[in-house]
Amino acid sequence: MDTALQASTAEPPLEHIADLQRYIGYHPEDVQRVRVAHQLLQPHIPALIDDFYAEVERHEATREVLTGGEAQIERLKGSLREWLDELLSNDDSDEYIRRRWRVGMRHSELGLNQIYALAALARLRGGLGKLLREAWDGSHEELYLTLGALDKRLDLDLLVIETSYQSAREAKQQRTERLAAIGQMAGGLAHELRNPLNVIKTSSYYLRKARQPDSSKVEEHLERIERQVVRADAVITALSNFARMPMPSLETVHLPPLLQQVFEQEGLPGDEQDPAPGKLRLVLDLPTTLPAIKADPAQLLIVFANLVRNAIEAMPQGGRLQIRARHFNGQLEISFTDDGIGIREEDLPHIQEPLYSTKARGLGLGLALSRGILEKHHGRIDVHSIAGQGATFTVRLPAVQPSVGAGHGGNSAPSSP
Amino acid sequence: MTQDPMSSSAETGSLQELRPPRVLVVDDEPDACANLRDILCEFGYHADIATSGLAALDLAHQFTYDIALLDLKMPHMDGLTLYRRLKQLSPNTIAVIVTAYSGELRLAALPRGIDVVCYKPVDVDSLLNTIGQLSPGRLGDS
Repeated sequence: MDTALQASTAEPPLEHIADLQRYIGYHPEDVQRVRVAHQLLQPHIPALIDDFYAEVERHEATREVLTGGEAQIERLKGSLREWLDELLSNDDSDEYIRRRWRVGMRHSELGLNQIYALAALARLRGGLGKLLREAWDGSHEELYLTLGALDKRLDLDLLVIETSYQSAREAKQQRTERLAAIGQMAGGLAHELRNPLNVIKTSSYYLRKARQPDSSKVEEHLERIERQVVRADAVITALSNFARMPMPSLETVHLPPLLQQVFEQEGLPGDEQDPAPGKLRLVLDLPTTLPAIKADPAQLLIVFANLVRNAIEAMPQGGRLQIRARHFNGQLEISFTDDGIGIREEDLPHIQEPLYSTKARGLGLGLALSRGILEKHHGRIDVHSIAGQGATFTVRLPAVQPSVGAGHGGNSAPSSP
Repeated sequence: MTQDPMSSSAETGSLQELRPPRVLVVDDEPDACANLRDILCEFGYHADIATSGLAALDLAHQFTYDIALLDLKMPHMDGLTLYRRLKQLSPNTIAVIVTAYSGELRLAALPRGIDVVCYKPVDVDSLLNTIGQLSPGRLGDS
């Protein structure tokens, strides 16, 4: 299965699920009732499961999914048995939730129409209820309340499975969209790679055909070849970054050293300097009290490097790039302001789309990639520009709130700006 | 501005120096320009290079070019715009489009008068052949 899909759906949103469970309201008395029901139901469960799979085999659509014959069905019966035992013994540990989550993912992988899973659960619900009524020897009132508790328990499980279905659907959707963008990109890619290849080809032609090339000429051509190979490689890297973008692997990241890395990578002066003509003047405004962020440093590096490069390209005659960071509203706001050519009003809504580019070079992926990365970080990027008057790109990312004193388990309230 | 086709009369044995055909190479990638110039010089042409439409037109104001090799996708002024303005300035200059766009480029979309389209990475022998045929005053050519 596609690694990207796996990576994005590996861990259930435990907090989100916990919230939903609180909403459903499964109380201690419900827990106790389900325990009682478990004892009554246990001897009858194998028959219930046999009946369940007999029904699955009767329906073509569900039967199709079971390609492993008798052996598979036996395994599945065993799994179902285990699940019912866990369910009725009130295991709602994180590990249990993860297991149910993976089951949901597996259903999606198998291409099982999720309606059938919901129908199956409904069928089990009916079966368990019927069995309970038959085995019951207490009061009607208590039976009624126990059936209700059983319902809630099944609903809690349904909740987890449904959440995993939604997550699998989202991941699949994203993958489809990305493939579509890549397909569109094939044309642009051909163009971007043919330019470097052209230089390499013409240099090699010259080196083969020139009668008496002097050594400096040879050196020139070899340098050109090297340069263009690097460029072609950069195009391929940009494309595969876009195609493969993995889920961020989050760490605590501090902005100033990360920016330093960007500057080193892009060959920039690290501090304010006298601008020589045609050179870039870098102005940094980074308060020492800036909070950290939870981010994937490699991915953020891509975002910031892209913004810096865009700024440089907007100022071919040199100019000023100001990078300013602020802690505001629980977020870190980092703005990149250049005084370059700016962006025309009609281009502004489109520049973050993949493949859209106002430049003659490049695939037009930089901002789309950056936006994708920031979305996965629960951040965003905004642009403000007037054509001819420079541009400001503002990145916003959730700040890591420092915990307030001992014994305070959760996040403190966001500090005021 | 028209050019006098130079001719050499082999029968009479008189020797007249052939003016090397003048080629204008335009591509926003400097390495691409430099390479074509190196190759063209090696094969007896005079080549000037420009990495933008404006620079190309600047040169075309000063010199007469027999042939212009034009890249299509360039920032600020693209190849087709350059072509039109160049043709206004110098109608006898023969334009050869050299492009990284793939072969499915809709030739019908190109303005009439674009004489040749050549695809990157260029087949240099083929390009030289084409330039040779398009150049005025070459021995044996009309």
